[in-house]
Amino acid sequence: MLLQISEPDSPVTNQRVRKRGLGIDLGTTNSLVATKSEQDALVLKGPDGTALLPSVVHFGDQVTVGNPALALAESDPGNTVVSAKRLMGRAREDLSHIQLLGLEDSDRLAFDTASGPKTPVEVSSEILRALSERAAAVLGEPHEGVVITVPAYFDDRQRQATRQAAEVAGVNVLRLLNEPTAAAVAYGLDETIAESSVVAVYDLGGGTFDISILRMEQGLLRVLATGGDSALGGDDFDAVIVDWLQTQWSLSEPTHSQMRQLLMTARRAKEALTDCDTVSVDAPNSVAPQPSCELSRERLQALSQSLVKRTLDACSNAMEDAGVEQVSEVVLVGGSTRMPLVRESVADFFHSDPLCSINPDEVVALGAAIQADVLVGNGDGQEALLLDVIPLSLGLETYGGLIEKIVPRNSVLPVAKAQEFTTAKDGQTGLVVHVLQGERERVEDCRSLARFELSGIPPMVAGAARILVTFRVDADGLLEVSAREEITGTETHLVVKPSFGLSDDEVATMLRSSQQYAAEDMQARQLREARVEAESLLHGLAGALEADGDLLSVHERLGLDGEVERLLQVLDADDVDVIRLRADELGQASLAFAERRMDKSIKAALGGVAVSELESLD
Amino acid sequence: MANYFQSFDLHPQFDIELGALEQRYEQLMRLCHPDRFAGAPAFEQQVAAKRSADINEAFDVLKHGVKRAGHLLELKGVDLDKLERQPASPDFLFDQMMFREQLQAFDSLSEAHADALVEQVCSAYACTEAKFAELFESGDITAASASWVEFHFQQKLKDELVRAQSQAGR
Repeated sequence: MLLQISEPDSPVTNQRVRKRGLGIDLGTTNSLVATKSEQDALVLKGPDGTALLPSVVHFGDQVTVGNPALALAESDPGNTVVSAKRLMGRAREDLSHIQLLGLEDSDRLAFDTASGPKTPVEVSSEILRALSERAAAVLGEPHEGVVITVPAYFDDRQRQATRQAAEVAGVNVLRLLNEPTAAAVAYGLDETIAESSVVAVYDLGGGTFDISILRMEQGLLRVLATGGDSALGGDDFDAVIVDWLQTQWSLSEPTHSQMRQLLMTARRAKEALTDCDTVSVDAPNSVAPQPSCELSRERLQALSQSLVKRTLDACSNAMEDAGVEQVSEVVLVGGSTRMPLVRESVADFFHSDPLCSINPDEVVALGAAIQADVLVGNGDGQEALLLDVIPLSLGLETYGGLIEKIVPRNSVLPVAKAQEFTTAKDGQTGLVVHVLQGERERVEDCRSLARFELSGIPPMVAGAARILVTFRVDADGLLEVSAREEITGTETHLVVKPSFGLSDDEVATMLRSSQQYAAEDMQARQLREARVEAESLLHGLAGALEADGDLLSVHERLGLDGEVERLLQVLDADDVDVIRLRADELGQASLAFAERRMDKSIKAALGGVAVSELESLD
Repeated sequence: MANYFQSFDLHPQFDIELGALEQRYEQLMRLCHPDRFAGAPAFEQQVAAKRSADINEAFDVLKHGVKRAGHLLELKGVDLDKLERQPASPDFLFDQMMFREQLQAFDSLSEAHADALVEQVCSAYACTEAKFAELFESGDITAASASWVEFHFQQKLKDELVRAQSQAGR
């Protein structure tokens, strides 16, 4: 069905069985999985009765995830990976000294474990797999796909790395959803927030900070601006406490094991200060014998003032980008917002008592579950539409190490922007396209996403060639770049892959060797998937033709029927490639029809007469 | 050349009601956003993604005064790239330079002086905007093009003012 809005009661909708979608909050410190049933979204608990799965993975004789792994974090720090999210899509030079502890000494970031090097992507995939298995065990049924949340301020490389982790885990990703947006969805369903209000979501997690300013309206949730710091979170509060403890205990160069214990000690002290004014901190056994020391709330406040200020500065910038002077509600998300210091500072800044009626640890996963339910196809077209934005500008390197911005930050997704460039020298036949993300003017201050070469430009005088570079960012916030030399038609196209992630081959190998697929023949699985997809295409097209067949001429209809026939002929054969090829051909042949249907529905909705065909950008 | 006014079913003119534009934008996105095609075959999602990117682009141009003005000229066959490179009159450029110098020292201005500058920049902007609208509606595309060059400059000046204001915390 093309437009459910125009035919809400079509028999196709009514016959559809409810599908299962999952929402996963893949956090720095803890992760969760949630799902939506008829009415409510709920988090799924593990066998130990808790919903929070510590984002900790131990690589020993076997892989353990969560609390059992956390129990080993202090005794076996070398084989236990914590806070892997902070390293997703990052390069060695982005990391601090503490973060480099326990990493393999290679260009690619990988933890040096007894089971060999483990990349952050692999570690995250273990967490995703554990949550997906938990859901299967609790629900007793398979799921169709997951919505995974990411910090709004994640750049393209971090998003790609997250998607890759899901691929390695064999999980079908419906969407990468920004964490603050997910939280707003949960509050939207909850109807806590009145319609037509501007809301700030302040999300301080274990390793990331996001601020999003949104407008919530009937059936629509629009992100106006987003900002933050993808390397600022509760971990940094722990680190300032560790620094202080090191001074107290005169530890100048702690070992990896001491450092791990200090971090755990610091975190416990920080958490205790949520309810008490002072805590007595005992030296962990690897540091003992040292006297215990007193840590007061005031002391912590003094130590972490600059961290809180960084978050509030980001809030000011986001308000300015959103063009709003005040907000009607502030929502707190993330475990670190439990700190009284954070809570009070946020309340002061926004002149508003923050909302936290939904558990700040769970709210993101709940929102993701609600969106997953819509994206697996359980929606009726009445649910709120999310319009999200890209957090950081995208651009290209131009002459002199400067960046030409092509997609400005806070552009609404999906977005497609094209810009023309030309050659700088006479007879230049190649052009290096260097894609960057960030707000600064100079190349070295922004994150390099990809570099590719467009060759085969015919020799011309400088400035004569016309090279059109197009950036497309989809609803997941993922970028695709293509470059085309207009005179010869030379074209290059790429999806940006994380340069420090895994290659496609590595992902395929891991998938094949992972337990989930060991028992199942990959070939059979692929064939089944290809058939299901082809059948859904045929079914959808049949419905569309029945409703709007009059939009096609007799000739066009015959052509399309021919393509349908060609697909039907191969559907029962066992050739995956042929089924996919024919389905793809049918899809391509149906594009014009789909566009006409969309025009028709737009025309009907606007009730206007002037709307003819909407012309496209390219 | 895509006609963004047509995309929004609006009459191509400079004065448009921004509230109505916004409403129409939201209405269009509700129809075309890829999320509305969850579970639909891939080719339909492809059309939806492309269409909503087009609508975002059109909205971006229409809601923004100078871009909307430029788009109107483009629809009349004016080459905007060429126009952007065209110099404004010496008198106009002199005024712009004076404003710019003051903006660079915005931090050090007295409050009264800063307020006066804000007032001046804003009224100069409003003036140019009105002038463009009038010339364009009168059908004098050459004169409208010349006033667009000034409009373009005034926009940059206003953007700089906003930046200076936020840096100075005013």
